[in-house]
Amino acid sequence: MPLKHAIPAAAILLATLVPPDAGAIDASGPGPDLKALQQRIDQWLDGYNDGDVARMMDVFSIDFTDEIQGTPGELDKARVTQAFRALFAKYHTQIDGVTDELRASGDMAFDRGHYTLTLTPKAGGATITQQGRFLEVWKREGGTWRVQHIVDMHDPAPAP
Amino acid sequence: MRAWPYLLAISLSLLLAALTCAAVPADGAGPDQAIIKARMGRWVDAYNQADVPGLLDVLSADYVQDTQGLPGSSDKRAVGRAFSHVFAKYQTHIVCVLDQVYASGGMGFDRGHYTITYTPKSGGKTIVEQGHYVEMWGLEDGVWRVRYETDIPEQSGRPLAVM
Repeated sequence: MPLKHAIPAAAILLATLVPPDAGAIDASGPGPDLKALQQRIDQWLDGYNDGDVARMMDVFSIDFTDEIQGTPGELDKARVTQAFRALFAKYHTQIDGVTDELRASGDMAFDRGHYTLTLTPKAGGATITQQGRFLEVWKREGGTWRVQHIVDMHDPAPAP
Repeated sequence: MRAWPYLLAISLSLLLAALTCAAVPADGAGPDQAIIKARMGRWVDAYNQADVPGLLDVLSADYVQDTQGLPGSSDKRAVGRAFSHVFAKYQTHIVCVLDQVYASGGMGFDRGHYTITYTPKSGGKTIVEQGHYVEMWGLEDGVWRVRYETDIPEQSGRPLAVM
């Protein structure tokens, strides 16, 4: 998978890793649901920190789809999983993510925010920095919150 | 028997409601999905009639739009201004295809793709733009409105930066 695909896929997921600032986030919904959503985000964080792609991808629905800038159509769960494996093999990654809005109602939720991702090649070379915004649509499936759809919009690169 | 017109009206309403629910595909089953589809249809009609108030009526007061390739977000006021500018300069036509719709509780979600044609009123080359979108809906006092939208044009060339 081309790197231009792998980076945003990683970014959009990593963007949920940083616990949202309770004072800044615009949130609504039942407290237990918001807590459960945060736990799912934490699961992804733990999986990421352990390099456990399977645990990370458990957060996503089997019919999960990912819309990424510059990519015609959508990526499915298998392709995103491949992208993470390829990304972690080549880069040390770091992301600062901010959740701007988190809402839950019934069996549905969404969060959106923005992120800054840095990728440092393990083989050496210049660090890549990418900023963007994301939307994640969650669905409760059999009592478990899973991401069903993601949109990743990375910001234009700054002028050199 | 003065009550019969009311009974007839109630019966017809129930019949129409049943038919509406039955017409919605499995993934979008339920009356809320049907209402969201209808609201989207209203938005498309308003767009094709250059009806800015009609467009904005579908949007929540705290609506936010993110557009791929543009920094920052746009609010309802900015989007209204952008539509007014576009409609002043172009004859526009949009075709929207709804790919997925879902609703639960007071929240809805739809996504799809579109083709917009901009024909300059003062003459000139017609611009065709394609893209896709995702919308998050909220049920506000019994009315479904778009709270958040991502717009993902497939190529640059849009007449205005914000729309």
